Amino acid sequence: MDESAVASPAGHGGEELGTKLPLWSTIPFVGILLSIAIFPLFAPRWWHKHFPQVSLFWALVMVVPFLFAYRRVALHEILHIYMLDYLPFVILLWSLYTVSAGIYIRGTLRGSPSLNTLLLVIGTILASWVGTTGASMILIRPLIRANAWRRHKVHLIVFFIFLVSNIGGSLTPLGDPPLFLGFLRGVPFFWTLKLIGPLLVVAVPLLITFFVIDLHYFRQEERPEQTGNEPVRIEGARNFILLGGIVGAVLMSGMWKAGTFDLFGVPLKIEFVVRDFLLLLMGLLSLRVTSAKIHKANEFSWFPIREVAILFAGIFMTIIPALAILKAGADGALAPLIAFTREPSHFFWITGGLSGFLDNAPTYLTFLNTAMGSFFEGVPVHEAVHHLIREQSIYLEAISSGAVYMGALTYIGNAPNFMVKSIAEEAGIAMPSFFGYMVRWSLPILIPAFILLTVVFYM
Amino acid sequence: MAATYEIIIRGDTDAGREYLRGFLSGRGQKQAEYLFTKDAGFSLSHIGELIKFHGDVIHLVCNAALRRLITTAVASSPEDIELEIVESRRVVRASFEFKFKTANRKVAGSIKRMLAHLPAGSTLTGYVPKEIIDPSAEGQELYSPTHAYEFLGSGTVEGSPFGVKSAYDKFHDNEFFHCDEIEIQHA
Repeated sequence: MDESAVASPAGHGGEELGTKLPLWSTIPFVGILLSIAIFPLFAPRWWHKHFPQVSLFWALVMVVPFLFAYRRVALHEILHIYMLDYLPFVILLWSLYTVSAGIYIRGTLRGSPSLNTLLLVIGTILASWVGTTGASMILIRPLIRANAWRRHKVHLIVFFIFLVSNIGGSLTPLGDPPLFLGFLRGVPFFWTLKLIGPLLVVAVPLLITFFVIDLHYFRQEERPEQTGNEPVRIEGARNFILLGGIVGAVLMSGMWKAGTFDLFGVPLKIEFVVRDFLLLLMGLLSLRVTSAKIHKANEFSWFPIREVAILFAGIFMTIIPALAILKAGADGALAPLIAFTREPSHFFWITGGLSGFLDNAPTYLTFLNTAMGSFFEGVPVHEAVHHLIREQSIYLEAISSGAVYMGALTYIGNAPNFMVKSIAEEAGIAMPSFFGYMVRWSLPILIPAFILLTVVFYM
Repeated sequence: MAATYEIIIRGDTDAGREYLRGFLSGRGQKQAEYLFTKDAGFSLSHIGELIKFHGDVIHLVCNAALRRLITTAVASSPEDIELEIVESRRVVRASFEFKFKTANRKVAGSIKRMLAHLPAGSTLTGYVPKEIIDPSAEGQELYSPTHAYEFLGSGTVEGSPFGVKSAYDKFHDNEFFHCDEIEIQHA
């Protein structure tokens, strides 16, 4: 294709590039998402060692022909998505992960239905402020410790994945990576609080269901004699101040308009750059003030962030054609998808259904672009997002809640799911298989809750 | 293994079982000396059996002495129950296959102990344990979860129906095990 035919790169709308790109240009994107979904299930040890090569492979499959065909425009697109999406995304996750790993709840907790429900409520609320990964890391071990004496524990972990590792993260852009990507595209920080209604419609029945199930099992347990009575205390509480700093930095970047400057032809907002420096500062301060004992208790290592950095480097590279095509709306190669996805309920179920099996951050971006392509074809991204919020807010609510909530449908739906499952297994809990989790837990419990949500909000 | 028989009795399942329990109890036989195999983990659903013994049947495993007593019990069963022995076969052995997996060393220890001390009348065959220690998998992962320690294995427990059933109950109660149904082999 002639490079000169692409006048407007995706960063400034991307609609022309999107009309030229063929559908097969999205194969690397689909390939990397399927790799992330399939390899951990069928070749976990191979994947553990080789995911960097797989990510690099898909990135190269996309980038080599892309650069060859579109040259400067392609380079601009790559720089654009890396500087405006990838780097802030990784920096936010790094800072939330680092600071959360500095908090440890110590002491003797005795697992009972009321205490467990309380822990889930706290986790659901906390997830929106420290991220689903952070909240999972802080609370999963206390929950397991509190219930170590019990025979039936699987339901505790499953509901923890539902509520803390997924659904709870829907109220702020810090809660779940897709919402932060929305924030980077101009969704206001507090807009996501609109999802409090959907959150309550889903979370309250889930908490009641959990309490009933937990009570049922609790009554079957033989109570052991109380051993140990160490008072409950939060170690590393100074990290809560740093979490406040992270919230403040992100909030500031959404409110302060300090202007832009160009770097390699990419317009960078000064407030975004300041935010990223502040996030790095919070993480570094956390490393400085947190004792090695707390990090050890949380099994802290850089591996999870390495995974995020490497895999999302591939995802953000390969997503470029998909986003451009979707942004082109009816003129792009994915016009049938856009034509089919018309109602809020469609957006909720399709975004959610795919988020259950693929990573929810790129899925969110894909359907955000689908909505923008549907309603505001050709309008620059930030402007389109503002229009979407003003005129078709229900669609963004459906996409956001679908992406966040339905990550709980499978172990591969959201990153913390696997982490929680793994920690539980290492603590001696026999977690269900991939399909066992779905058949026995997520489908029968979550699908009715999501149908209720659809009826109440999206029909 | 002492001679053991599987007796297949046609008749109302619930009433027939209760009648036989009562009959045997009245003659001082303990319940541990016979087994109603349906709903007890035994495989009974071979197509051949389903065709051959259509309708309600009671599967029962017992020793030779009890077999004679049960024959008497069936012969003297009241009309409203109408029991009839349709087959009585000598059992050569019973067996079931199992597999397990854990990432916890303490659980692994208890599994090893369990497999080393099987109930009397049962033995382990084809047991293939595998212990994986992978220091590179220490700590948490988000997208490539693996365990630094894993103990997994599979095998077969075989022996007398009573010994195998006892082992099956222990394994089946352990959430880290997956057990297939108990198969009975006849002479």
